Amino acid sequence: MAPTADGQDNPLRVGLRVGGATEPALFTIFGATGDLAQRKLLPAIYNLAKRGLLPPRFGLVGYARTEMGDEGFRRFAKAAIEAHSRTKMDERFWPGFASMLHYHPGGFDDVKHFHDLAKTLDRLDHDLGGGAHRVFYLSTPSSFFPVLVGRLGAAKLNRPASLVRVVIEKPFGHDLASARELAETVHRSFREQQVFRIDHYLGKETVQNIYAFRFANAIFEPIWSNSFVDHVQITVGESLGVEHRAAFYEETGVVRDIVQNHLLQVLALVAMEPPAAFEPEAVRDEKTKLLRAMRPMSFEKAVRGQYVNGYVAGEEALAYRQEPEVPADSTAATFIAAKLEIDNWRWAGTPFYIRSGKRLAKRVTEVAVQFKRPPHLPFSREAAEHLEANSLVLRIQPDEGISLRFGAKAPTPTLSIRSVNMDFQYGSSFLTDVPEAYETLILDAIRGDGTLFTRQDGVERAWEICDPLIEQWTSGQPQLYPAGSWGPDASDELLARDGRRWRRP
Amino acid sequence: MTGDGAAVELAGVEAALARLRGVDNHGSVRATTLNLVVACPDSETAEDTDRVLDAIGGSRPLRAIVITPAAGRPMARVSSACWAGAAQEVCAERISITGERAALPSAVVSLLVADLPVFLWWRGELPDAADSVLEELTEAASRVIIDSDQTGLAAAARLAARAAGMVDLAWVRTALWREAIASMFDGAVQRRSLAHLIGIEVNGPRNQAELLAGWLRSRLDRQVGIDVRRAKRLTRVELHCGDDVYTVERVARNHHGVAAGPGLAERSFALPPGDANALLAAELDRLGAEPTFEQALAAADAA
Repeated sequence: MAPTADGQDNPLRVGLRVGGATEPALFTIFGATGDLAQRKLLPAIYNLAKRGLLPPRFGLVGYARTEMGDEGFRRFAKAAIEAHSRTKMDERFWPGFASMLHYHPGGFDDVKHFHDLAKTLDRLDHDLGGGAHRVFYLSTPSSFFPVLVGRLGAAKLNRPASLVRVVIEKPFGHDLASARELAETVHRSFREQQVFRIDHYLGKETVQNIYAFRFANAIFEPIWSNSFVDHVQITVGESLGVEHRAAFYEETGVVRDIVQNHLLQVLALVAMEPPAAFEPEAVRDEKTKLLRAMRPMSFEKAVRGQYVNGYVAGEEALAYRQEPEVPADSTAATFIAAKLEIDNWRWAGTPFYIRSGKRLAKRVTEVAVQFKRPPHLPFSREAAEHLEANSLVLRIQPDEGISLRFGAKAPTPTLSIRSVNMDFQYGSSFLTDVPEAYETLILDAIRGDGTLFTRQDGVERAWEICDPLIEQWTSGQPQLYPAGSWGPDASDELLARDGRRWRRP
Repeated sequence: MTGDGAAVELAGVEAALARLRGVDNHGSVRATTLNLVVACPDSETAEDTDRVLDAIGGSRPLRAIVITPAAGRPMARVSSACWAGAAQEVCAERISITGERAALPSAVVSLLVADLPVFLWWRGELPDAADSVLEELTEAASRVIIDSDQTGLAAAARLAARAAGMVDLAWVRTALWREAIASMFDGAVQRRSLAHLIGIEVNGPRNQAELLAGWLRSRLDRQVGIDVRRAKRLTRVELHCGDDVYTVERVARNHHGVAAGPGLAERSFALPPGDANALLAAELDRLGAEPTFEQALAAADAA
C-alpha cells in the first residue's frame, strides 16, 4: 500500500461543513456476527454514512467464523441496523451503503485465514484507489485479543504503522499484571500509537462536555481546587441487576466493571490540569498525571456491597445470590463506595468520594462538586439554618445537564435563606439528534484521533489504583443492601466519619 | 402553541409572555439560545413562516419575532410552545408584529432577549441598499439569512458587502453537492486533473449553478466556465477536467446521489430533502462569517 491519498491537501475541502473523515479507509470487524457488532458497531457505521461522515472511499469487512458471502452479510447487517439503529432504515440510501459491505469468513487460529484476509483487503484497497487506512476492530471476547493481534502481525496486516490501527474493547486485562501482559502481546505487533482502547463512556457527548465546561469557561476554573472545593462525589448508579451477565460479573465485580475504567476516567476529566491543546497526547498526559497523583484504594476507605431482594422503581427485584448462575455463597461486589485522595497541589486535602452499584434506586451518573461553606455568615442562626453549601452538579446521564445550588432569600417577613437550584438542561438548549458514543469513537478511530481513547500508561495506573482493593476483597463478606436503596449503611458511615453525607441524586 | 391570539401593545409583550409561561407551568427557568427575527413581505409569507417555526419545533429554544408591514401602529400577538424532549421540555416564544413598516425595526430592538445572538431571516426579495428597515435590522443582527433563489445573486452580493455573517440558503442547498464533488478529488491522481478543470455543466437553478462555479473558481484560483440547464433543483453537476468528466447526480426522485469519475468507484451520498425548516434550523447553529461562501459569492458575482 502506498499512501497516495491525502484529503487534507484537497483545496475543495477547505471550508466544507460536514467535517467527516476524508482519507480512504477499510474497516474490519472481527466478531462481525456478535452481539456488539449487531447492537452498536454496524448501526454506528450506518449512521456515520447517513451523516456523510465516512470517507468517500470506504469499505467495511465483516470477519467471523460463520460461513456466508457478501450478500448474506449485507442482509445480516441490514437486520441488525433495523433492530438497533437510532435512526430508521432508509431504503433509498441502503443500496449505496450496502455496496460498501463485504464479508470474509474465517477462524482466529489459523494464520492462513489472515493471509487470505490480507488478499481480500489488498483487492478492496485497489478498488478504492489505493492508500486506504486500515482499522481492525476486535469485537470479540478479550480472551481472543492475544491470538488476533498475533495473527494480524504474522500476516503483516499491522503495516505500515502510519495507516493501520487496531481497536480493542475493554477489559484491558483483569489486573495490572494481565494488562501488562496483554500490552506486551499487542506491542509485539502494533506500536502504542496504533492501539485504540475504547471506553464508550468517553464518547458520550455529556462526558466530552466536561472538557468544554471546565476549559471553555473562565468563571469555574479559579475555584476548581482545594481552596474552594470541600469534596467531590461521583455516582455511577444502575437500577438493573446483572441480567444475563452473572458469570462475567462473578469474575469482574464492580471495581473491574466500572471503577477501573469508566469511573476513574470521568474522575480524571474532572480533576486533571488543563491540557495545552485538545490533542491526543496532551490530553492523555494530563489524565495520566492525575491518576499518578491518586493514592491506591484500600479497604479501610472503601465499602463493599451486594444487593439482596427489594424493590426498584416499584418492581420486585431478586437478591444477587438468587440471580441465575450466581453461586449461593457468592461474595462478588455489586456495590462500592470509596474515598479517593489525590496528592497534588490542586487537590490535596479534598477527597473524591465515589460510589457505584447495581440495583440502586435509579440509573444515574453524576459528578457533584461540593463547595466549602462561607467563612462567616452575617445572619442569625435561624435565618440560615436551612442553607446548604454551594454545589455544582454535572449530570452525565440521564437528564444530562448542570445544576448550581446557591442560597437565596425566601419571601418571608423575617430573613430566611434557603437553597435553590439553578438548572441547565443539556437537552433544553441543544435538543438535536445526539450521536451515539460509538459513532464518535469509530469516526475518531478512522481519522486516527486518539484523544478519547485510553493509553496504556493510563490503563496500568488505573489498575495500580484498583488492584490493592481487589486483592483485599478476595476474602471477607460484602455488606448487604436492599435492591432499590443507595447501598449499605456503611456507605453513609464512610462519609459520616468525615462529617459529610451523600447527596441524593 | 399557547396564546389567546389577542393583539397586545408592544409594552405589554413581556408581561404577556410571562403570563404564558405561568399558564403552562414551565417553571422558573427558561432556556433561550437565540433571537430569530423574520422579516416577511406580506401576511401570506408570515403564515408560511409560522409553519416553518412550528416545524423547527423544540430543536432550538428561541424567541422568534416575526414582522410584517401593515397599516397602523405596531401591535403584537404573542404565543409560546413547548415540545417534549427525551427527558425535558423545550420551549420557544413567538412574537408576531404587524404595523407601519418604518416603525418595525425599533419594535424588534425593544423585544430582543439581551445578550443573545440575533439572526435575521429576510424573506422574499431584497430592497435596494438605501432601505432603512433593512439597514437597521442588519445592523442589529449577528447573522443575516437570505435565499438567493428568491433574491437573485446580484442583490445577495450587494447585501453581503454590508451585512455581517450573511448566509444564503441556496448556498446551503449546494453543501452536500460540494461535499460530494470535493470527495472525488481526495486521491492524488484525481487531484492532478483538477488543474485541467475547464468548466462545469449544471442542471439546476441558475444562481446555485453560479455559486458552484464561484466556489470552484475561488478555491482553485482559476477561471471555470459554466453551462446551465435550468431546473427547479440541482439534479446533476459535471466537471470537465480536460478529457476527464466527473459527475455528481441525483438518482431519480430518491434522496441520494451518486458521484463517479475516472479511476473512482461509484459512491452514494445522502441528499436529504432541503425543506426550509431543516435548512433554517441548521443555520441557527452557526455564528459568524463563512469565508468560503463569501469568496464563492464574490467570484460568482464578478464573472
